[in-house]
Amino acid sequence: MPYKILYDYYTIKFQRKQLLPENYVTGDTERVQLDELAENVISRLEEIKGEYDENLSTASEIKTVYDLLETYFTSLEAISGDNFYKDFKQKSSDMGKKMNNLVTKLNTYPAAKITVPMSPGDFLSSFATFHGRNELKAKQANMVEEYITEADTLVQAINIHYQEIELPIMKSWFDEEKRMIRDQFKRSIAPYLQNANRHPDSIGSIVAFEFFSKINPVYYQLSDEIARDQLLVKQTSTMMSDMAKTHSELKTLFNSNGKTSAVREEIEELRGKIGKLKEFFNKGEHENPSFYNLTQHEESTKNTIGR
Amino acid sequence: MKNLLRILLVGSIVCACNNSTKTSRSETDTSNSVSSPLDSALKNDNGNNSSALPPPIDAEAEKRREITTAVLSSKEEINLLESEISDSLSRSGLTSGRRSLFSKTIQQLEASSDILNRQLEQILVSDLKNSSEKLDGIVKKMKGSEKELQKMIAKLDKITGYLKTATDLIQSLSPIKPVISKVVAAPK
Repeated sequence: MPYKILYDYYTIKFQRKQLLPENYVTGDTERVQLDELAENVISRLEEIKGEYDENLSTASEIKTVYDLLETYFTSLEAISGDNFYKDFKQKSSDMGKKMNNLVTKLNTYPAAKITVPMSPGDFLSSFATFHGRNELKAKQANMVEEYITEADTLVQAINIHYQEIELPIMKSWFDEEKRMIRDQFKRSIAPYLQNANRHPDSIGSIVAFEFFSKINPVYYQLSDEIARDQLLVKQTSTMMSDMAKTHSELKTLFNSNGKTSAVREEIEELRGKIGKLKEFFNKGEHENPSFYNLTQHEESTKNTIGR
Repeated sequence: MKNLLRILLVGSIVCACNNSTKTSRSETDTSNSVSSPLDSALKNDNGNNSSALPPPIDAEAEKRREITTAVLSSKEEINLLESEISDSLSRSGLTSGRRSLFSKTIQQLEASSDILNRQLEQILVSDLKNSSEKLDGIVKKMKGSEKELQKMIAKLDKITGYLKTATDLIQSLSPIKPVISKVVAAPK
């Protein structure tokens, strides 16, 4: 499950839980209960923060899998690349030219009794290039084939896990949060609304309007974030399927003809897909909760993940 | 009263789910230590008789799906109940006793929902950890291969270098002088 979606989910939940009206208005009226109220509220808020930190460490465990998937594609690209023998081809070609030059001079030398009939430079160069390139290509092809075959089972398993387990869980989590936010905000504004409607001319109704002006943007913000994440869940599902399908095609392609050049093109395509998935893993792009100390939050997140 | 009965019902569902996921997790842990579904899948993939063995990954996945569905449906129940209590709490004229009861119930339901979420997280992470360990192994081997290719390149470079040096040496030892073409001035 992409880290960004999970991070967003925990952050939305963290924000919502801070605004749970029952944290503050417990309905307790006994004197002893009222005396303990502040301590209870603080304890509850600390508990919410603790849960959030713990949740982020779960998210970072999931992140590891997707980071590894990305590293796997980078390595695959590296070992199937043509940078190895391109450089080698240039060097052996330079050497061949030098040798040819020498033979030409030798043949044009007036004292030369024998004319060298062939171009040993070309021969040497082509032999070295041909031999070197072929040996490298064969080695690369074996390596790439081995890794693609071995990793395909895992890539398919990760995709199946996402589609069958992670996707329904994520969907239900966001649906639940959406409904809870709505219910919770309804409970929050109800007493203000009731009071303002009972006493429309009272000066106290201004408090209600001030409250609405502060709480409404939070409601919109959280609702929008949920909608955005619901879309991300869907998009990620499609991307994961595409990635798994492309990887499977890559395996089939390689097993059928073993052409490194064709495999390279496929890997490029795969890398493009992984690049899109990578965007969701990038922690730096996340917006921080607006009603929470940002610096402390980031530090705490780093510490939690670093544990 | 109706709500209280439902709370009791949901409470028992949460406990049951808690137990079932714990059991299934311990079963998964045991199976992981002996042979994980991915292990089997890999063996099947690499082995010769891949079609002869039944796919154990399906049985495991099926069990995971069942647990997930059970936990999700319990959460649905909690959500429904929470919505009803939330509606009651938003009504006016509640006695302080009832408000206190509903308020505590909402918090308890939130806590129950969190417990079930923890179970779902465990389901998510436990399986992915297994994949991650295997993928890590592959990635490490790939890094090794990359180094191997680089070593091969270094070796070929060395051979080319020797050939280049040999050519230079022959050229320097040979009696050939650079051919200087005489420039004959054209008659004006």
